Amino acid sequence: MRPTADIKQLLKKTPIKTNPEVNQAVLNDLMDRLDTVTATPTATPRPNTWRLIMENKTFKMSSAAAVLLIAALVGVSQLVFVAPTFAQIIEPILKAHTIAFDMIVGSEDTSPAIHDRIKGPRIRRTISNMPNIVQVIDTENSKMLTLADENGNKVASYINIEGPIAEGTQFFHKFLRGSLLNLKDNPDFEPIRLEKQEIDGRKVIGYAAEDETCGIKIWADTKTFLPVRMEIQVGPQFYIIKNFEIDIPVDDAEVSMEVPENYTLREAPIDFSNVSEEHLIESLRFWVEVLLEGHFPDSLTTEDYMNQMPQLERKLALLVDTPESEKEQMALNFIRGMVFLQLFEMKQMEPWHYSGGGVKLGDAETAIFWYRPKDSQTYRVIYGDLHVEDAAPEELPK
Amino acid sequence: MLEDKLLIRKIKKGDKSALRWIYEKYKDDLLRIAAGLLKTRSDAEDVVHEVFVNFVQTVDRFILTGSLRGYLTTCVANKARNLNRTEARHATVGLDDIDPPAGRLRRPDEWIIMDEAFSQLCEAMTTLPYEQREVVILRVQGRMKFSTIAALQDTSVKTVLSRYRYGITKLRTLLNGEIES
Repeated sequence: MRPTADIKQLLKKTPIKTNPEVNQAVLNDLMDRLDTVTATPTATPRPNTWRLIMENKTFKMSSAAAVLLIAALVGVSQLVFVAPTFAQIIEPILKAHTIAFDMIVGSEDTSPAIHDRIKGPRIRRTISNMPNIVQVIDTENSKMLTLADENGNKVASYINIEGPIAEGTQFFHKFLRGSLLNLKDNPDFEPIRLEKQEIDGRKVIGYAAEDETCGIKIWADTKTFLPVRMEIQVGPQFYIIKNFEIDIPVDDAEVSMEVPENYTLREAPIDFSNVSEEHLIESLRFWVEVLLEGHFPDSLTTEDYMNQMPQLERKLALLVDTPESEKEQMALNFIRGMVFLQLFEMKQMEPWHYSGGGVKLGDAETAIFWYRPKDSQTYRVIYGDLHVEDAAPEELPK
Repeated sequence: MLEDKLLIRKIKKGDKSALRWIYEKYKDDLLRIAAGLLKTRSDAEDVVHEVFVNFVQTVDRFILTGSLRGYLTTCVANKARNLNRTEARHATVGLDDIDPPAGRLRRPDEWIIMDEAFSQLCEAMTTLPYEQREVVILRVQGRMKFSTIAALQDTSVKTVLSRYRYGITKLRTLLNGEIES
């Protein structure tokens, strides 16, 4: 290792310990001060948004452009650029009969992309790092048809996705529309205009918006006003959506829930209707025992799970003494664990925390994951040996 | 990050759990940075407390344009620099009036608990000239870009890079035994 890296590691990794009582005392002091700040009206009345806008030179120029827009509408000029509003940009997404896009779970454009083609309540989904699998999702009936083609061995499976998945968090297009609608209908919502820029060779105008549950940036083509790219942050998870195609022809056969003729239907349906803490624990075990070599992953997000999906089969194949049925259960529980985690990610502000990086399986002293179940006053804490304890907020590891 | 923006928005509405979230997220990093920049533990603790207090007291008109981590780190760095300058001007105070170096004092109200490893690191840091120390800490612990540090120190990126190299080399010499162990 280079000596410089050693020093950096030392600087980064040398732990700092703090006195819990002082921590709490400082926090209490800050909270008291926050009470004072939020209870006291600002001494100088802040100018309202309208006055700020009117005093802004950019707005004055935009006002002029707006006047010219009216001229354009009556055919006097077609040459004036007028920025689309946030509502205009999202309208095509909200009103689309069919829509296709690439979604990346993560912040890197090079990460695996989920390609969705959506027609009404049906989605046809392919994933770039799993080219032999097609999923057709029926959001109305909470059912998914998975078509796998392994070297000509074509198998179809029905998956029950009732419950939390079908309630809206799993189907991203529902979430997407839901978020946009929430933003649009939120009286506090104030989109922030972004700088004009180029994306994929197209001139775009963008808006940033956020509400209690998520933050969204959306860019649209300055000529067509059609969406070009979205970036969404929900809790710690980041998503990129791009390559939009709106109102494209999607054949009914593409989103059919019927098993194609040349596929064999798997007899036992797969059930994803219930996901729980036990599945998360089993998926953590899978991370350590199958995917990594005795350690928990450095981070635990949907993106991390997605990146591991292509290795699942190869890693499971190495378990020569494990019956196939057991391997299948392990893989399913791994995915169920991811879905359970997604419930936290999508709720965004539900308190949860993962800190398993570097912890070895069997470490009964080190907490690696904790979360507060809905309506609970206490937390569930999972330790490195995967046992679980309940803990009051003040008992949580620092 | 958008997550921080959401939390700030909640804090503006008086949400204490959001304040707790921000506090828990950044306090250790800020204390670590302050402890490296300042000669005494109590100064480091005071600076971080002040930064949080200022943040809360101005939160109703606070607009986050970059990262909150970067903003808070810059606040700590600025306050630490001001404090060091003030102390340099009043360097004639008696030794009894000065806190012992970090790590040699135990108080019941201490915020940072100095164990041996952290104490050694802080003591090694204090042997570096302040500009070098600041560059090393802001770069490695504060995750700041060299260009940002250059703007903060009102100097060129080249000078900052040079300070960084000298600082790291000296620390390597001082802490050599620690690394090898």
